[in-house]
Amino acid sequence: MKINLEQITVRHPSTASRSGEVLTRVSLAIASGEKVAIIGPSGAGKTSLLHVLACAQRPSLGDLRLNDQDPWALNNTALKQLRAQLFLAPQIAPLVPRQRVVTSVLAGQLPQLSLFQSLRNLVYPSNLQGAHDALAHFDLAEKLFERVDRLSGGERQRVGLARALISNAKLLLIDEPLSALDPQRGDQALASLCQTAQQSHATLIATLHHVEMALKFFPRIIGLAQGHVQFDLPVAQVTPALLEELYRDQRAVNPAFDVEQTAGSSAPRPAFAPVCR
Amino acid sequence: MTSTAYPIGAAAQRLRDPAWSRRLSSTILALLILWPMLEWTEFKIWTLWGPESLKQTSNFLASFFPPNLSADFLLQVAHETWRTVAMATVGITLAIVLAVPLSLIAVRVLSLSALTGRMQFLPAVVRQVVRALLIILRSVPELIWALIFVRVVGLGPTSGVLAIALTYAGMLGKVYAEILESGDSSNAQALMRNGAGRLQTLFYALLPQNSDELTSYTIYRWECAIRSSAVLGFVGAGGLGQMMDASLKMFNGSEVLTILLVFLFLVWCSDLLSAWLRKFLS
Repeated sequence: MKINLEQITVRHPSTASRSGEVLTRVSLAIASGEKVAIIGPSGAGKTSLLHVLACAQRPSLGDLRLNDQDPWALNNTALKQLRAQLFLAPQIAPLVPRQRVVTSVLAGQLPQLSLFQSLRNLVYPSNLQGAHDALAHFDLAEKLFERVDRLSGGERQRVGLARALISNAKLLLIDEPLSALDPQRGDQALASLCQTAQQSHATLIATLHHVEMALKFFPRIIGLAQGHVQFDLPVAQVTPALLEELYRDQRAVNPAFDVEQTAGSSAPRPAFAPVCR
Repeated sequence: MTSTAYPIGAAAQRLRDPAWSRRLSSTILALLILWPMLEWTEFKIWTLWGPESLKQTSNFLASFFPPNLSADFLLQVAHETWRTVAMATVGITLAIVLAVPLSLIAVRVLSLSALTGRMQFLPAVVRQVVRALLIILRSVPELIWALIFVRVVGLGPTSGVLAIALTYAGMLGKVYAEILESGDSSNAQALMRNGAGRLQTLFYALLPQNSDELTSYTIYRWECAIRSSAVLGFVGAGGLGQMMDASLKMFNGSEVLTILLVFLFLVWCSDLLSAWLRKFLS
């Protein structure tokens, strides 16, 4: 899915920021099939940006185009059809504790199913294989018939990603896919997401706190700080100096702040060798 | 790290729980409101222990013993118990049939337009109309509904069933909607944001999320329906209530006690059923 943002401003009444603006005049153009990582310090507006793209939050100002359409000018039916083509995976996977994993994963396909088909799936899942394969991407195939509340936090996060995989959406918006995953699982998760996006020609946009993972997997990096786009560059042009700059404002507020803390890893600073895929 | 940023002494002086003054004032306000209410209701609990009232109470209670356990009375009780249970069950089933669609219309979580801020005008109006209808249904006591229906369909359990159905539809509809709204709605929101339909969201997120509470509240209401069928019996809706009315009028305390024991048994059964169902669901 093709995306155009023109001078998007999002105000949030409950925000702590003085102006009340979470995003300030953000302009972006993302082509169909692109893979983009959004990085930046906490509170930079990364999640709000994803919500704007997912039509979950209406921007206060500016122009949003998804496939050259303004979603907020669409009628309810057309907006629902548009929503069926995009998939927003929140940071905390929205899974019902009492549900089984198989049902939770297959819920990702609901927009493509009729009410009757989705009810029949509750009686006997028709796409067991699909759910199994999606989970297998994250080494969770054996949990297919477990209940969600028996899973660990990391497992739940991966079930949420499996749901994204099976959704067949043309725009994947993934918020912090790695927050509960160890480095190895993180690698695996991002590789699966990238591969799925590649195969289905979907646009993939992920927010990441793990800077080194963003640089490793995504050809294009957007640095967001205090609601502004600080840089929007191909990964090869993202220098350590730019990253330093991106996270510097936070340091001014809290001297104890360190880039590595935001990156969520205690490993020595990576060499920032980009591995484009 | 924190100690450099915030010197401890200064922090201790500055930090004050902002919720404190509100808690204190709301407690005082609650007491100020409650006190005149106690006065107005002439609530004097010590009169319960007065020698005169103790004597009267014990006489009344003593007349209950022993319970009437004669075979033909028990047979009659069993027959009326069955009728009461049937009346409550049919009533509550009708109430559920009425309440479910109403609560689904009233519930805000399933509104697509409310996903992104305010609900659209028409759905918001429909929702208010449904809420008003639920209020009307439950603000009329089932006794009044029964008195109306006794005139329409005549004496007997049918009027009890209809009375229970209407009042309880109002209660169930309201509380179903509130249960669905008070649970974690992020799962439902996520599905609708990704393009799932409202009924799909209901079956894949809201119902499994809240099935426990919905079940236990429904069973509890069934229990209440059994009890209120006792009251309805007094106005001629049949069942155990009518029997108890007759026994009370004839000052036959032992029969009343037997019927009360049956009520105790029925409530206990509903408790077991509720516990078992919730265990089965989770």
